[in-house]
Amino acid sequence: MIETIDEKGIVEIVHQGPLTAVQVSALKETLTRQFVDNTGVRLNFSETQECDTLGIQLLCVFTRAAIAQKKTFILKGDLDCVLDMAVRTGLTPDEYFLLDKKEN
Amino acid sequence: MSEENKLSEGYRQEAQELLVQVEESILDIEENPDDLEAVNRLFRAMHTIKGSGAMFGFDDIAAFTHHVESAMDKVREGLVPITKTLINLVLSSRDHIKLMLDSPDGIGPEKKKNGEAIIAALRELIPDDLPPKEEEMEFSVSPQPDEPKSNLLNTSYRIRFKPNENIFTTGMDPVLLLDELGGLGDCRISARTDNLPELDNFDPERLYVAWDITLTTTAGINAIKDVFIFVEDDCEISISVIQEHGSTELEGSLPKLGDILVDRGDITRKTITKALDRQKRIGEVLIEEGDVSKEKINSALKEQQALRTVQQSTASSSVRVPSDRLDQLINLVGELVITQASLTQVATDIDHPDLAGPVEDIQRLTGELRDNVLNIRMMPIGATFSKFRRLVRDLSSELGKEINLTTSGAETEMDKTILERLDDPLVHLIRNCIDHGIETADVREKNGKIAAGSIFLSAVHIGTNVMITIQDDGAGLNVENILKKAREKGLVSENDDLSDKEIFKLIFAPGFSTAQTVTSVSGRGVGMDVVKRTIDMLRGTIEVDSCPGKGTIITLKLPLTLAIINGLLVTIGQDFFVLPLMSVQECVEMDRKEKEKAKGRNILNVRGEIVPYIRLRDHFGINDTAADLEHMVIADVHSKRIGFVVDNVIGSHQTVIKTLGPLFTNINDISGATILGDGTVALILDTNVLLEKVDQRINY
Repeated sequence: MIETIDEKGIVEIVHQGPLTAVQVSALKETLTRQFVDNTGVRLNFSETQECDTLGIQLLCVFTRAAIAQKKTFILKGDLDCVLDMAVRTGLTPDEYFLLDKKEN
Repeated sequence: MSEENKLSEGYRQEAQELLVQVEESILDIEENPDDLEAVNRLFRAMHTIKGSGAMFGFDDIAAFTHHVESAMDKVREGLVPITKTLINLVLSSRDHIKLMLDSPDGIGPEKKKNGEAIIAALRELIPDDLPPKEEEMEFSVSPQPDEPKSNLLNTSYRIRFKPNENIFTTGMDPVLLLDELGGLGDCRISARTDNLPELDNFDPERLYVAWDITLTTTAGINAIKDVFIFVEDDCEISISVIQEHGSTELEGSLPKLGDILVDRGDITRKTITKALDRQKRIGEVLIEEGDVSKEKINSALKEQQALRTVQQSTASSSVRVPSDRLDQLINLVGELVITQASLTQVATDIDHPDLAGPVEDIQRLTGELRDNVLNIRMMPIGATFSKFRRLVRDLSSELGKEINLTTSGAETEMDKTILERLDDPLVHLIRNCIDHGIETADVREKNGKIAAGSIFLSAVHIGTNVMITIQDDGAGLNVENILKKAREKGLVSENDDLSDKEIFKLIFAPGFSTAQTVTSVSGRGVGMDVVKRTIDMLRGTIEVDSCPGKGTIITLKLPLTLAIINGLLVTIGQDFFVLPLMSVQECVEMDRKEKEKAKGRNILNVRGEIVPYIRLRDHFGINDTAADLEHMVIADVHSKRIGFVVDNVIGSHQTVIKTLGPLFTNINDISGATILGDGTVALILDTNVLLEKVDQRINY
């Protein structure tokens, strides 16, 4: 997992590998820690090709937590598999997530 | 039974039911190869047998069924034509799956080879190199190629799906089910995330999301239920019909916004009512404006209510309950009926005016409860009838005959136990129709008949009985042949002058057969006596009527249930007995003079006819002195008029049968007992066994 912090104090994390039931616990711990230490998190999915419902659920929870804690939580990178899974589970990605589509 | 065994047994039962569906569907397809719904039904049944089989550890069944399912999928896609060979293979596959289901310890190597041969034949008929199906079509219903899509979308369903939080521990991602629903039609999915906890309480490996889905599809509710078949026990699923688009009456009547919000639980009906109270209803406005009368508005509102009821009933559901639990319930209701009868007796004795009303209420409610509980065990005879389509198809083909089976009264209901025991006798009777009754096409044509023979199977309720008729248009029974054979076997003497009906009854004698040759189908003379015995055991009757050259009619008359009996209550000394009312023909008085006339023989002259009788007092060793005037109940037993001599005839009595305990297993002339209102036990007599027991020693 690669971390970089920008000038606004938002950390960028590049998630390595799938975003599925196997990885959600570890990612929750990482994101929680980063939420405490930083003003926000930019989660980069350039290295992610697989996503499941638990992965999408995790992103939903952190989006809500970010709003509640007045932090920033942005999804970034190649978001195809994440957006596809969001649509398949009945979510409208633009309404649920803050997307950084510049690199798409 | 362990939880695992219960699940396996549940799978076996369900798979057996699905196999009935498979057989019906393939025979429907054979009759009408364009019946797309039958193809889909068959595919779905195979799909469920396979899927559930894999889930419950029936891997061999799942693996075998997979091949048939794949073949049917190709048929569904129109890649493979429906041929006689394919139909035969599907029927053989069905039989093989049944064999595997019936062999919990696995099938032998020879049977395994049969299964492999079926798969090989399927592969040869439907090679693997046919264009593969599209994955997303796996669960969809094939549309008619030239039918506009809008015409197919005929029902909208509301599906609310909340998976178990631990669903991922089973390896199942619910998104696959959502995808599957998407394959069924126009599917609109909304995720409900309101149950997502705060970050601190959030367990990322649990699933908190639920879904509201609106699905518009031609695939019926069963296809939707099939999607959830592997998760239904652990998840909250509700499926209801929102709108039937095919119905012109409902077309355009989109559900109201308020109704949808209330239905979804977003607001209460009270809030809607409060909001609506602030505005005038359309009916009130129309009445005020004088556009329509109040009467017409009320009538329209009634119609609306009726349509709503129809829509609700469409989504009705059923519950699978083990039959032993029903038996237990029936036993308890039986006890309740007996207790209620005692209560009524006590209330009559006390004769307190305040008691009469409540006791009458209990009597009425108990009666209703008894009828309702007995109704739960009732099943339509249709499932039994449908099995015979296959029997007729296979046997007629084996014997080179063309035979059509027609059925009526499939909806007629009977007790499950009777239906199960009726299977074998009906199979035997129909086999006989096919083998002996109906002639070959050339013989029929020579006799001026159409080449194809027909068998008509019907069931109808008559009072508290069900009458089942098996009628064929074959050659009919040969009276001379039957009589000749009966004389050879010593069943009748040369001098006996028998009517046609009496001669027909001889075919039920053990070992009786007039068939010239013994075939694999019938002709050994084993069976008709067993048929008769089974029908007797079910407290039923069997009658034969036949006309040479025109055909034979066999009529079975059976009680609706074995749990209650319409009986005739009689007494001998201080003891009470019940005779089955169905077989009772008449009751006559018998005084001392008439007994003396018989000079020690057990016979009585009834209007010029000699009727043999059994003295129940002597048979049961009841030592009281007999009254001068006794009564003789004449019953039809084994097609003979037999008298049963008793002291008094009380009258008809409908009662719940209690089985005798294991201590009385050897007493077979008493089929059960019942407890009367005052607590007295009345024994129920089995007249058939009684006659058999005394037949040898009776002094006619």
